[in-house]
Amino acid sequence: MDFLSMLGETLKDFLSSTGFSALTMGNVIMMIVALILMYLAIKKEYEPLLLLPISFGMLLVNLPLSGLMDHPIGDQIGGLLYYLYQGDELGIFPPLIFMGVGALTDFGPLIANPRSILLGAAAQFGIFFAFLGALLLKYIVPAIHFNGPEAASIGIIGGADGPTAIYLTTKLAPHLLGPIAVAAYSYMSLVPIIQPPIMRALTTKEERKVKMEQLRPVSKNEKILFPIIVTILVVLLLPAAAPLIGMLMFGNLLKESGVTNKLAETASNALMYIVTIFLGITVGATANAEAFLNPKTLGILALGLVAFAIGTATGVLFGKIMYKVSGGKVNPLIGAAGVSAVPMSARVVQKVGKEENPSNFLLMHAMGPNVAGVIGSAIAAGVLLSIFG
Amino acid sequence: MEEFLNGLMVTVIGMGVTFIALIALSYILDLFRILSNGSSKKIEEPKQEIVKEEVIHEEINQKDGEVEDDLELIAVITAAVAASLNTTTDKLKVRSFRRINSNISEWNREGRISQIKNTI
Repeated sequence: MDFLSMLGETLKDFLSSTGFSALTMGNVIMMIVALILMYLAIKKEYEPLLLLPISFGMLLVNLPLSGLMDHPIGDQIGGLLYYLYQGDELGIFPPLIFMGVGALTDFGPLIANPRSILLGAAAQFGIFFAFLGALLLKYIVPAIHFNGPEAASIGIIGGADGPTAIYLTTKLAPHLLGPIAVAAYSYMSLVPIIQPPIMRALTTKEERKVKMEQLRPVSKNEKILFPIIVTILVVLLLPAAAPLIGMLMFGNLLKESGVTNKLAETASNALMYIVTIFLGITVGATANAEAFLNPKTLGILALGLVAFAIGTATGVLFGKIMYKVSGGKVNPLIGAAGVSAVPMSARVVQKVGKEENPSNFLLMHAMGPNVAGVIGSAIAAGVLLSIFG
Repeated sequence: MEEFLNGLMVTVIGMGVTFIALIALSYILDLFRILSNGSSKKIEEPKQEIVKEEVIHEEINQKDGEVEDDLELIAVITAAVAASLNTTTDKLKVRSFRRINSNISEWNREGRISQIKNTI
């Protein structure tokens, strides 16, 4: 009899130590959200390199009692993902990814057509439009209230640049990291759906047909000088942008110098993928039920979409100005590539341009504003960081 | 409302700095273009020298006498000169070539030919 009651006690203890007993409704909903994101990553290939780690991190952290994100208390060490998350929290991973991006990026089209840089600046309006929208949202929906730093983190989704968004959000509003990262990467993968209607609505058939002159060849010296000059100029102007711009340009110099191919190869391949794994799974791990399941997430998703749309629109509108000023030599479509999302948005420009005129090749012309957008959004992030940080 | 005004200020500063930085960059890149135009002129100059040099080359290398297959010979000469000058054939033009009498003995010639054949 004693034995049976002891067995019963032990079983009861065991059951209360399993996750099932601690499972909440919030956990269940979050697990479903994680599984949907996983489906989108695997089946639809929406930014799978990031969305898959993010969704799995989300799944892991919502299985109760796992303690993966637990802070260390006293002698007790913290959870595995808590330690990996330090790379995000301390601002280490996003700049490392930027280094890899730099080692992959060819700034040649931008050097060949310096005016196209302005399109990369114009498209950053989306960031600030969404930022203002986030501040004003409480007047429309009283339940959702964002303060300045939160609004800035939401706005940066419009930069269409994952590492920049994660970097800024961990500095300004770490509690919103999960929804902001999910919004940023989901919308980036939806660029081919979001951008074309806006591009068509704002341009005429004639404008879309414009063929642009072939770009001049860019010498090796120019390509080597470019990252050095950008670093000096931007970091002097905006020290807060140093981690992002500095690492981006460092990676690019490794590539262009021609003497450090092994380093460039490592930065853009092995290292970047290693960091991507850590970044993805830990960003996902911040999306626990309390952080994700509140009306703010809906606000973030809506404002992120607005940021993307406005960024595309202002890019195209600025492209129209350049079309007028240049006497019809610039195809305004390339303005849409000013939102970073390299090289997806440049490909979208190429596709939309080709629909109007099958012999039109805008890809290289769009790469100029595209890579300028990366620099532009990093600068915008630097400004927001220096004001709210 | 004050928050919104602050937000507007941030927007103006943010877009202002972004534009200033990128406009400055675009003007610096204009300097690049000017510099690279300067250096491309430098590349053109040796082009003419090459043509001259190459005329001399052929004069030395070739013998007078019956012309067998001019076009083929010109192609070979152009390629050889281009390879030795580290340039491409489209930058060279063979204007004339003429065979020159060699005063090498028959024995020497035979020796050279056999050596070339052996190495090949």
